[in-house]
Amino acid sequence: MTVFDEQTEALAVLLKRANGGDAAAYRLFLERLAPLVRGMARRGIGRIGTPLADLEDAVQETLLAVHLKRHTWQEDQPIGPWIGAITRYKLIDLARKYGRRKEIELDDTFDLATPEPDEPSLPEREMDLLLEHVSETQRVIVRSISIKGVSIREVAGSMQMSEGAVRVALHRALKTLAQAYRSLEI
Amino acid sequence: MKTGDFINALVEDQGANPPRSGLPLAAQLAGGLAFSLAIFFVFLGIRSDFLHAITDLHVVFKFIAAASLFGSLLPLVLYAVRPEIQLSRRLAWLALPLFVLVIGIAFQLLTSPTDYWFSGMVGRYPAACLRNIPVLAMGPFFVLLVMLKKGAPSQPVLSGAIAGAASGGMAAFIYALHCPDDSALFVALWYSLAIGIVTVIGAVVGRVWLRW
Repeated sequence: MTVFDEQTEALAVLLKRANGGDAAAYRLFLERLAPLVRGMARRGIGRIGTPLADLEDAVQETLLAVHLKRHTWQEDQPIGPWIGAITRYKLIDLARKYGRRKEIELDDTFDLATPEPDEPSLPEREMDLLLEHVSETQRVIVRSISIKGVSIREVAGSMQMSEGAVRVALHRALKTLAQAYRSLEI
Repeated sequence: MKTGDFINALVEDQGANPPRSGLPLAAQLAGGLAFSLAIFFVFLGIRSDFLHAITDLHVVFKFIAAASLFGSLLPLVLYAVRPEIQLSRRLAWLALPLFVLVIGIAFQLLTSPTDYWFSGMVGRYPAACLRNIPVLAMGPFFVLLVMLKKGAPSQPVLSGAIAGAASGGMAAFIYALHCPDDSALFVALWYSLAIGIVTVIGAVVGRVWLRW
């Protein structure tokens, strides 16, 4: 069993628990997924020849895609190929932004990518740029929850909104961010 | 924004908006087909000589050909929502409807006189065929594309085309209840063209709408 297999097997267990409503498991899932995606993305970016400065942006976009499409993983199937496919799809998006249309064969290299636990000291500017595409309210909500680490309930209290409204606004904002990434020119 | 920070937002959203699984494909398709059948019965209706015609193998062939097409493509739509599935490797299933088509054409050529071949191929209502099959495809087409949109098709153009061809096949099955042109050569030419139109529309919709 390769390192990749071991890592993805652990991820499968975590995502199953997360889908059952376990928030701590979901956090752990994403925190362990990020290094794996970072390794794959570095390798992919090397292949397609786009600037390495986009690495961490690509990681965040892939995490967002995994999040929004997590229902498409079938729990009886291995999770590694599913993660690889989403990462590859997002890297193709990145290549397209630079006008590289050629089909990129990345799948086979992913198993060999070394996981990178540490966030590189690269500018991750994209998510902040993309946040310009959502409404003011949504932007405040996303920033508070992510950067300040507060909960939906706390945001609802401080913004004098209902929890349901914050919940909907957060979800809409994330979907808009993914959509804006697709259409944004660099 | 740091990746670690961004994860906070995703975790919070996971708890607040857990993923929901929709109705199974069969139930959704039933809705789409009901829409198309309603159009069919209001504007077209079953051919008046249906009970007599269905005893003719040439007529039966139309239904078998249409069913083999959507039967082989619907499983592919289910696969298309999963990003890790390589669709192009599963297109071999299309050999089944092609095989059915070839058998049908051979049967037609063997059972009809040579001077009927051309007139049978042109048929009486080719324009109606080209119009009605795409219209009847709308119900399942909508259902399948919405399903793909909620999924994660890693080949959006191909996925859209497959959804188009599958709905075209279902529409062809419905339209065969009405269509009085019974030559397999007519089916091979006009039905294929009509389904091709829906397939191309599916590919275009896939390109602009199915990316994620």
